[in-house]
Amino acid sequence: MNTFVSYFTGNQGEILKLTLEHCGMVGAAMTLGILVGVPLGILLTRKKHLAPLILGVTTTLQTIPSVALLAILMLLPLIGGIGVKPAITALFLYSLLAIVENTYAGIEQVHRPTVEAGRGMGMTDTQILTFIEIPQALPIIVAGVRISAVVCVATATIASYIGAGGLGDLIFRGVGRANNAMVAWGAIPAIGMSLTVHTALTLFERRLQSRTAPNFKKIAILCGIGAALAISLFLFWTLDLTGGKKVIVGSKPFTESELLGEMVAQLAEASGATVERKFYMGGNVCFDSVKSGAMDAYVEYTGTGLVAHLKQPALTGSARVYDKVKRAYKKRWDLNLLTPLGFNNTYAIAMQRGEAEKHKLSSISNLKGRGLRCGFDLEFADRPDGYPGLVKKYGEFCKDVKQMNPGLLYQALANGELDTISAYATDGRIQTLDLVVMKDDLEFFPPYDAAVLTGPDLFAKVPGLQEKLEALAGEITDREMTRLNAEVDSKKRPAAEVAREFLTSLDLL
Amino acid sequence: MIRFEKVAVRFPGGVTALHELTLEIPKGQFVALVGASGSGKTTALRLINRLQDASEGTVFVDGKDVATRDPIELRRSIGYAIQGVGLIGHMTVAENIALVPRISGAGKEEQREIAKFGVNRMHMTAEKFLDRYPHELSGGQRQRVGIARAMAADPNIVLLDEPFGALDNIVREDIQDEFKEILGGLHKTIVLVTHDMHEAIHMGDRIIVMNAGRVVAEGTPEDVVLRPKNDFVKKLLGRRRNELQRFAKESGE
Repeated sequence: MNTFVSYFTGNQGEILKLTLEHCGMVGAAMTLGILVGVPLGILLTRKKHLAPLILGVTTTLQTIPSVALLAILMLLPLIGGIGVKPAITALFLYSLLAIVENTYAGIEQVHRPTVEAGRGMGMTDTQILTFIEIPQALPIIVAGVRISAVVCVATATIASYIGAGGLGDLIFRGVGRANNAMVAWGAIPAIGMSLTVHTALTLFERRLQSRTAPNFKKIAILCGIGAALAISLFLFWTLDLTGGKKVIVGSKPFTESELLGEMVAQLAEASGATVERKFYMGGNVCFDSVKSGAMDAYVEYTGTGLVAHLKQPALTGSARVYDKVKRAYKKRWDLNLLTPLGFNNTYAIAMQRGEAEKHKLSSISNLKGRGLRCGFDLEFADRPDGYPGLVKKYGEFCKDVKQMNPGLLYQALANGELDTISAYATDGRIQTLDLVVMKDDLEFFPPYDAAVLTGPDLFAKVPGLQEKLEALAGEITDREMTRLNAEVDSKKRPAAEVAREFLTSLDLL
Repeated sequence: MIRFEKVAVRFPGGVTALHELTLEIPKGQFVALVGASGSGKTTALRLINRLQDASEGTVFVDGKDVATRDPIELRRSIGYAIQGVGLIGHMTVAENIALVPRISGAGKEEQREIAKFGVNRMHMTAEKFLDRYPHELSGGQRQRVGIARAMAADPNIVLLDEPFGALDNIVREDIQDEFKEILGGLHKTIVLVTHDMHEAIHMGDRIIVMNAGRVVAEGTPEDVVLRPKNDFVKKLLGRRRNELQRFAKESGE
């Protein structure tokens, strides 16, 4: 409870900022959803033969998993890239179903004799729509907006996956660091927002249903103000106000990547650049973004580059792998992989120390045929240099494989729900949770030397940054990285502070 | 005056709703179109204000072919009320009554005056009813408002499609009496569609009996009821024949 309160008091500013971002994203998406969805629903009542097609499309959109939809949208021109644009587009597409469907159904259920009487009295189609159909359908349309908005608030947390910010940042980062207070402060404002939207719109529906004439002028003005606010927020984010000097630094969704991202970001700031941080981005989002020019730098691992990006079989030998990856990055995509930072964060198989000692297990060979309950992170579970390759080399040792977020793996292992997990060799929690790493006695795991990967024009944009980044080369040992990770994960210190302290100790700041 | 000349209506799918209908409704007459459902009586009514267009033949209103008139303008010049009244639920009695003047461009005060006049004419108290919503009215009151709305723009022709259909018998007869009295003094051409012979006898100056898209009998209530021209009319009078004949005699006197 204490950490819960203290997290809030220490991070009010960030929580507020992320909440506002979240509101803005939801507001912009819902505004678009209403502006497009309501007219579309009305159109369907006029062109009924289109209804199955359009409702089919909106239903199908709804069934696309949100992460998949984001990944697809990222690749599209104009709305693509990283950040709020694809996120708002995705939320907008999701919002359509309920709005279109309810508008359509709402107008369809309007008492036909009333419409017929209106027509017989000489009302034009537009007058029938505005005097009879829309007012009568309004409670149902508002219900559609309410359903969409509540879903939208929840779904918007996923936007963090592609660097759009919002409360998802706290949730993903909190899960990654096993920091429950952080997760809670991401979730609570989102819950509050959902409940507020739900309650406000429910009350509004009730008022409309009470049949006394709604004040349409007032409603129109309120909607107008809301739309203007949402659109200006949207423009504020999408327009690049700082111009070409802005540098975008990313990180993968775990603490170490964030720490290293912080270091790159702070060094860029020290070189006079304005930096936008896109941390805790999902899977391959960072690499895709640097490739497409939407991101300037992040820290990649040589093993990942070799297997995931170059699609080559895993190799051993740090220097050999680095050399190969560096040259391929340059040749194929004109990207620069700087000299490795010093540590090798290879994959590892970790167990609780007590268990390992009890069964006298010290190497991966010892595990063969033991039928363990295994937990792997999503990448590890299906990469050729992950579990599938490991089984080929060492033989099967799992009876059951659970795939989950890296942060949750450690908790599950510590709770005894899993026997063994995939881990990163430099993870701070190996120290703090007193885990042991099984020796890779057959030399299966390729090296995962960390190195800064930059886009082609970063150094031209920020003179002096290259020297600063090169100065970091070789400075971070396995031990040092593990310690830095533990500072953030176990001592719950902000990554920015830990990174600054480290850079200062090297006289780089 | 309303005139039908060899008017046929065929619906898509081949159903013929009206066969070569020819009839004339003189100015100021109260005509009741009677028939079972599917007889074509409502289709005939809807031809007058172009809610339905003729497949063949011509409908004239005040000497002009309706097909040549703008349907919106035509409808605004003709009063219209239907079964279940079709009052708009989120509008007050005043707003409902003044709807046609409003969409035709009348100002706020004029609308209010029209609404006041309309409810007063229907023997309702303006102060009490003008600002109520339809769901706060009884069935009979709604019916009155529906008629008041049909008459709001002071049209020369009023079309009533089963306007009393939703009322129970006792209320219906009271309201029929009242309407006959109100409408009778206004010298308007009124076309009433009903399936109820009793209502037709009671309200109409003239009755037109329809079946399967054709006129099977027409004349004054006495003509039609006392001297049934054919089996169909006899069947329509049915078991209430004696009662209806007595009623027609009384109404005639």
